[in-house]
Amino acid sequence: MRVEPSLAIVQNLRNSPVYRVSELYPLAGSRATAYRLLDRLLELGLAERLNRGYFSLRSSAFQPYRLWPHLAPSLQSFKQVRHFGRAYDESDVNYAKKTLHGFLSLDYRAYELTRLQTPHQYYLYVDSVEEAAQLLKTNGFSEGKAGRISITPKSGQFENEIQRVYLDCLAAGGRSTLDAIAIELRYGNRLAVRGEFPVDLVTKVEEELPVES
Amino acid sequence: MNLDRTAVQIAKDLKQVVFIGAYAAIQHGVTRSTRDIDIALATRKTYEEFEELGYQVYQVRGKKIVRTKNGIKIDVYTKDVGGIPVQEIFATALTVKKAGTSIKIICLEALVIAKMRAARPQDNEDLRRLCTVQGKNIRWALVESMARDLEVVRLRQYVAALS
Repeated sequence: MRVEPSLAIVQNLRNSPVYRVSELYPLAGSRATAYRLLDRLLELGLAERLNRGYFSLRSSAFQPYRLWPHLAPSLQSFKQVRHFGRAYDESDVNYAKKTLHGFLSLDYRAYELTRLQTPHQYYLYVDSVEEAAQLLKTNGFSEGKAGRISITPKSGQFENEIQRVYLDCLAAGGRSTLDAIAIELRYGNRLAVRGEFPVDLVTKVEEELPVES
Repeated sequence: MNLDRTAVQIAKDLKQVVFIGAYAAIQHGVTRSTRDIDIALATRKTYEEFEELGYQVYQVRGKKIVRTKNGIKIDVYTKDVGGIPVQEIFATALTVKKAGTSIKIICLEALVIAKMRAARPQDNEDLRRLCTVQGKNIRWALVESMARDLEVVRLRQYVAALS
């Protein structure tokens, strides 16, 4: 997917949980260009449209522009993800672990790798989303926004597992940024592409990572 | 990792304590937390007092870090939490039951203000989640008593956008 350098202008926004579309006007130069910019950010998966003319940005939008092409496959997978839930607790995850096969990423894989943060979403790349969805539905799962089982089609590279999980965490942003930092601290020698993080965040993760046995 | 049991033990050991960080945020609807526990104490405790209670005190790059017996890092706040005086944190704290024991957690209003002021990636995500799931439960009079006018306006915008 093409990522135009002009999109990086969005990095001039102040750091905030939500933005008004009008905040883009001065950056983009006009109202029409601002809406085109937002449309591209939505398309890339870096932005999400909210109520009443607001939108949010993933914190990965503030990673250096040179990294954006590496984040694009992860961001596209987030856009295609489907969520499923049955009891909406850990038992759903236990069921998915036993029955679904694929490439595990984000919360649960990051937890297996680093033990830093409690996991919540069971995020799995599968060969056939339809088959996996059918299997879940026939076993009492409902599709919606709140389910903890998230399945998505494979896109991008998966040869270097640590790198892919790292890029997924980096692309997801928010709390997953801490997972990315922890992965880099533990498995830095396996990463060819690395993000940039504030020193205080790295220090926080260093202090909170469990001691390796 | 059972943070509930650890929190209960901390509450028993330190008595006048309010849980304030991600552990408290989970009680308000946030879904993930790191492996540390942030607390506000009514009265300052020395590192020696922590050690007498069985806590471990480490020196890492010139900074002292307190950990529980099971290795959970504790960050202690005795003056303010995100600019809100600790006395106010105690006065507005909520009581929840964990493992049969009552513990105090920071109220939703102080938590969202502290998250808004911290503004790190994880805080922004937590704040979005809190506004989404708890936006309708925010007591605005309490927010107005703790936050600056511009912050109240911003917080109202976040809730309007997310809830």
